[in-house]
Amino acid sequence: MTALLSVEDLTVRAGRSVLVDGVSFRIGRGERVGLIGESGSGKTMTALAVMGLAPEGVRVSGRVLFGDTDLLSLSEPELCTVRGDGISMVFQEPMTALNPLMRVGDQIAEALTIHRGMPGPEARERAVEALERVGIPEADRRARAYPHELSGGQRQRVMIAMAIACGPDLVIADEPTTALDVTVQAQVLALLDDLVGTGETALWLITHDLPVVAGMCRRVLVMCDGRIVEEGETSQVFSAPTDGYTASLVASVPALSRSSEVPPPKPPPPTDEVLVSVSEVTRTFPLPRRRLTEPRRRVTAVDGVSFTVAVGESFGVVGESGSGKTTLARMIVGLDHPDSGGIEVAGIPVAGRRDRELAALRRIAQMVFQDPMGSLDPRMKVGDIVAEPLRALRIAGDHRARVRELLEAVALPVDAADRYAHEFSGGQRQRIAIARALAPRPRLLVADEPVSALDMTVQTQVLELLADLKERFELTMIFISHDLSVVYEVCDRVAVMKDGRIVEVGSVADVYARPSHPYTAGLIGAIPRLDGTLPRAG
Amino acid sequence: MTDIFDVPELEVRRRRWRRPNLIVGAVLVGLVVATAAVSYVWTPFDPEQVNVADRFLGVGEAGHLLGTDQFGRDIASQLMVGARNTLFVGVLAVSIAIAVGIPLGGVAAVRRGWVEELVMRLSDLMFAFPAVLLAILLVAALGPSTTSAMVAIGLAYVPIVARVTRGASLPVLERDFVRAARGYGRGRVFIFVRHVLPNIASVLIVQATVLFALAILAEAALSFLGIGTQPPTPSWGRSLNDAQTFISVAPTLALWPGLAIALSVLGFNLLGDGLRDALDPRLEVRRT
Repeated sequence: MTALLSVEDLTVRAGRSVLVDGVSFRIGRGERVGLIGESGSGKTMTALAVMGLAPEGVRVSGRVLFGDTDLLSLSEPELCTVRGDGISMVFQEPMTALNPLMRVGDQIAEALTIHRGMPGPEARERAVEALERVGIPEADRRARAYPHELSGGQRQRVMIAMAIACGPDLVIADEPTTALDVTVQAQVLALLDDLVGTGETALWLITHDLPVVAGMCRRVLVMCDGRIVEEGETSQVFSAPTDGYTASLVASVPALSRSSEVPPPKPPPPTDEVLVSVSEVTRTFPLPRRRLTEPRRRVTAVDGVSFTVAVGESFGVVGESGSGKTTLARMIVGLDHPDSGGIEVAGIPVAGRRDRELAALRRIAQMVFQDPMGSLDPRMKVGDIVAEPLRALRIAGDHRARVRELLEAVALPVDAADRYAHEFSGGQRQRIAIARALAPRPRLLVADEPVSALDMTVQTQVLELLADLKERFELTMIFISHDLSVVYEVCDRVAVMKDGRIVEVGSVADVYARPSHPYTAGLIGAIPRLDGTLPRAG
Repeated sequence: MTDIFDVPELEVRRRRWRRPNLIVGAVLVGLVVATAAVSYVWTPFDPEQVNVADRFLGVGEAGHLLGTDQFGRDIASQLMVGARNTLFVGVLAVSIAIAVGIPLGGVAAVRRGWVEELVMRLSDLMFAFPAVLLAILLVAALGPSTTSAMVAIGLAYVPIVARVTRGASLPVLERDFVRAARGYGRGRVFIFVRHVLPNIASVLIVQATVLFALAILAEAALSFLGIGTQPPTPSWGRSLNDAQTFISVAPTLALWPGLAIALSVLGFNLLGDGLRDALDPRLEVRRT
């Protein structure tokens, strides 16, 4: 196999820090190589440096041989002929990677006009063909759509159509499915597999998600702190990692994502005493009028949802984006109110109550939010953030001692109290948010995607912490997530939501082993597995 | 993609209070304040002393540091006393605008619904009403003085501050830490004061310094119309307007008050910029 891309001793420096440290690897013609690493490991920087797209102010050294030419020695105009034609890139967030004011067909056609000198009408025809190849229905109509008119999965398909339009030798895909729902991810991966896998095109797949690489790539590079720490056959690396860091990455993959064999079930919930009861809850939001005379339209976020959660239980709510799970979580802790239906927490009616009537609920039910940066006031010190609920709810006692105790419980250093949230890493920030939620000694913790903004290894630590705290403080937990593997790890019972409704509810063991609803089966089937089976769900 | 920007070395590494714009701004504003303070105890000449024989003296002539104006008054002394007026004007107008505008904007952002509509439509109405006309109305009621002119200017700035407050508050109110605060039982007023205001302070500080600068200019305009600072009290704005008439005879007459206004406006703008950065804990150097 001749090397298509040969990177030798690539180093990227910014100021005195080394972002990419002497990285060398090769990608053969038609080969598929994965690059694995956590955020900050330098994997995106490596890709950008290879493309000659490194940001201003960083210094790149080494050699990047694409065929016989050293890309690092090329001038910007020379690089432009390589980019899009020889090498093309698929970015993580298709909404920002596409020009919002340009029709998607024209964006694809632009690449063809630049690199193939194709006249406009012909390029547009070819663009429609490209959209057809990536499985966009009614491609000739969709080519005239703007990016915001397409769904996330369709936008990523458009990105892929752009990337392959000129028949490049190498496609670099940087976290191409991270922003997508699991079923859409499965479709996009299958598409990449079909389009790139068959021909002469090589694929360089950059991701934090090990199972995705397992399904897509034969060879994998593992990156940590700017260095490649391990390299080899994917199945070999994942089954018997030689490097300690790789081993910790592999260990952090949830059980459900390890193999398509569903692991054994967990014990049933301990008691029957009901803590949370949700009955026939519906919540709609108004949409803006399209015409002045039109009656106000409403979108239904949560549609007639009912369930109960027993004391001491871990109840999972699983669903894709837009399924209404966050709205449901907010209503349970009284941050939002249903149009109809009832919610009771420990016998306290929540639905429709004003904030000031809910003081009793606040002591019982607390929430942990998804984005640990957004849920902590950047202008407050950590000690004040954690003490806030104690002050707000006028809980007696030595607040400073309680803050120390809480910070200790979430395994943060005691001096954390005097620092600001931005001085901590994502995982530490989520620990702060958990400490704050636990401050009033709640009985119920509602966690809305608490680990989805975190790296894999950190995710495992925070999940372990939550499980530990649940035991220690005898908590009942409602755990909201889009990630079925994570819910499998922490929950006893699970409800599956789709379009605002619960389509299935039951013990985790039952639902995962014998899903009764086709949607649930599709979700479970779409999970990429570490043993290398590429999901093919619809 | 965030890993590119998370690198500590790429962060702003300047020490908190050592920012050039903050220092230059503080020095310029400090100069205005010091000049105003000194003018209470000492000026080179009596600033209101008319001396027709010494009209239009040049720089340094007959001991007049910056020369004299069309009435033979010492320009340096006039500028020194004028600094008091400038500060008074800025402080009064901006205080009124902030004291009324921030609560109004805050209520609109926090309450939403008809309260927001009411506040915002009222401020639209105020926008449509010329500030100078408002000033004339107020002067008719209170009599011409710096104070009534500045109350009018301050009131005219209220909708600006209210709009900026509301606009900056809305995204902050949508953030999860506000939701968390509601989740542990904080009321709307507390959330606005303790969680929203500190997070929009940078925007408001910059807005305040811009308004401060605008107020100085507005006072000059009102003085020109005869409804601002009344002669013989020295005012930079009026000196500048007076100098227009003599621009061909004595161009430096316009230069000095113009320079004074420009430098103090620049000073307040730089100070605002610097404060915005210095007060942001996110830009502080990571402690290790």
